[in-house]
Amino acid sequence: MSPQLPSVSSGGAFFRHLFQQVEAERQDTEVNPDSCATHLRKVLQRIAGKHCSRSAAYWVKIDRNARTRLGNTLCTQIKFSDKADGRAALNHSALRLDGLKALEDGACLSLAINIDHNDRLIGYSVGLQGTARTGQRLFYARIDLHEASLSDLPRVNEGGFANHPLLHLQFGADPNDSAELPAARAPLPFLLPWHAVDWLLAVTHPPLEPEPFR
Amino acid sequence: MTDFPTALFHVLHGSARPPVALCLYDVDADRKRYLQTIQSLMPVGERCETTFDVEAIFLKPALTLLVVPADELEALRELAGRREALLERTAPAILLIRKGSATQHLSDPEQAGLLSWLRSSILDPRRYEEIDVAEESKRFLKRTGRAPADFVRAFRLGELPSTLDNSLSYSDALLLTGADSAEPSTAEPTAEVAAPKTHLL
Repeated sequence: MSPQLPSVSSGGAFFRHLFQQVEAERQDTEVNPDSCATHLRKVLQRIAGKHCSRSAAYWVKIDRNARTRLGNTLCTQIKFSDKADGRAALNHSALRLDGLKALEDGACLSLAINIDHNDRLIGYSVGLQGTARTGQRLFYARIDLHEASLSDLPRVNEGGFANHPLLHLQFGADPNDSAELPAARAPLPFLLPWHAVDWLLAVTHPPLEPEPFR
Repeated sequence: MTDFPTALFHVLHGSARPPVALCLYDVDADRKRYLQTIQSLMPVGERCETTFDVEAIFLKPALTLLVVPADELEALRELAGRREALLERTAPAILLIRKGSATQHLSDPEQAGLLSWLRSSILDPRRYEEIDVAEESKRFLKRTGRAPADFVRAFRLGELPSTLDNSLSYSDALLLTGADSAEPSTAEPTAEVAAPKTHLL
């Protein structure tokens, strides 16, 4: 029998429950860097030639730090290489997106995924930014999975650091304006990084929405 | 320095693609993953076949092949002995070879010809993926004004705003420092910092 989800009105209990669910899924889910890159490439190949370059799959790269072997966090990162044709935030490699229904051509998809040597997700940040076709407003959305336990640093209650839920969607106008109010954030259930990319693409281009919503 | 997908691009695409390439791996699990990676990067509309049979390299010259030889040493000897026939290939054959005795065989003086012929088509994903930590750390410092460990610490303590730029830089900093290596480089967190205002949203 599945555990009973506390109601939102129960306040902290609901969010603690969500935190525990996300953290349990993270611990139980093996995410091998090569397989993760392959999943991401499959997502990009679905839109290659229509919404992004046909070379997009080749711009998903894996970096490894062979020297960092403290504790168990030999770290691997997956992101777009410098050859990718977009730039997000303040000059991070990103993928240029065109032909999205909701955003002007030249929107950018960014991603940064960290995985430890036990094939556990340390965290990720997947972002999409651009200008809305309607009203020419700036728009960004990003999904962040934070680390749960920072044993050598103060625990931030049951959330991620910066007092944000462990896994959340954040959206607004300017991805680099931290003072933007209201700070629009929504806690999410566990999502793998390639599902987060899928979801952000679907938000800005409804034909890409997954089966149940189409 | 190039990365694995870019190196694969040169092998899988274009008129100058080599007839044969080697993809080196350390353990069996890596071999399986590299096969998946190569398959995921095949040019659209082009198919490839995975085989254990080295003879397929000579029998199917127009088909991209991923060859997992049962006897890697013998496979390399076969290639060395029939190099002329390999020139007939119009699609690449990528042999997955475990680092060790088979790759040592390539450094044998008798195999100098084969090594020279293959040199630009030997793919070593692990080598491509490994970053130069010192160099990348210098670049990080120049770009953000903070050393990676300082950045990790400051971001975790909320001293840096949670912007997209900082979020992506934090990921870079984690790669350079390790997720559990961010010992505070200055003072220990104070009680004030240790008990931030609670708001879960």
